[in-house]
Amino acid sequence: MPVKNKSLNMRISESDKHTLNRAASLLGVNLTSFVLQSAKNKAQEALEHEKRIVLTKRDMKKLLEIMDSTEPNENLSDAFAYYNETIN
Amino acid sequence: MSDIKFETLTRGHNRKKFDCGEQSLNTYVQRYARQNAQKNLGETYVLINNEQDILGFYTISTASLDYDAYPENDGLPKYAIPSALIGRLAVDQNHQGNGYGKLLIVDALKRIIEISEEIGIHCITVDAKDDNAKKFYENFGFRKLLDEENHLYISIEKIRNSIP
Repeated sequence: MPVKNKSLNMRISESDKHTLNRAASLLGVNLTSFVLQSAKNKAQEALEHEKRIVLTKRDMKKLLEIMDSTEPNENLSDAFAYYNETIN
Repeated sequence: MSDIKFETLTRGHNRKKFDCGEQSLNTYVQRYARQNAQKNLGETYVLINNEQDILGFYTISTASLDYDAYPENDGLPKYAIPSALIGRLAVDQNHQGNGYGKLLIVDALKRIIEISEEIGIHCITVDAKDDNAKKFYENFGFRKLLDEENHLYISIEKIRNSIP
């Protein structure tokens, strides 16, 4: 599948650009890939921190019903048995 | 069939070779999984063969299940419910059809049950990105909510009671 690239324009100060350029050349990459990779790492980190799932009131009630459901699941029992035969 | 086993993801595993058909998950294993483990943002476990090829992987972290309204006197919990989150789970394309998905989910559940005894988790949450993933988890007793669509849930007790 062909990938269509989007552009991202931004204004930065002379000194910021100088700093980024120096860091990029130190790592032997061009400015674009340095900025992109750094931003992607940071984005990944931020997304990983987003671990709060917000529920509506009726979902919270539904969740409590699910928590109250404790009867065994046959497929799960079979999967545990299969695991015990396969992995030691 | 060669021996297969579970390990925590390390540099020694053939991460570059892994291909589950979903680029974002491949990139995660290849680039971010170890970084995140080092930052305590979640641990990645892999199913490997003797050649250190990754047959499948999953990640475990925690999530809090919170309530979007002010708590009223309605019997609902007043605080967020802590849960263990199985965030990603995938089998390599070249190794599908061997029941590895089952092994991955059971290994994840076994680990969570062990830690739940120490940290008081009552609920397990899974990420389910598409209908196939949802069916896979529903088959094992995970259930959907009504509004929130990206996750399925199961009680720790149900899993405990299902252990043969």
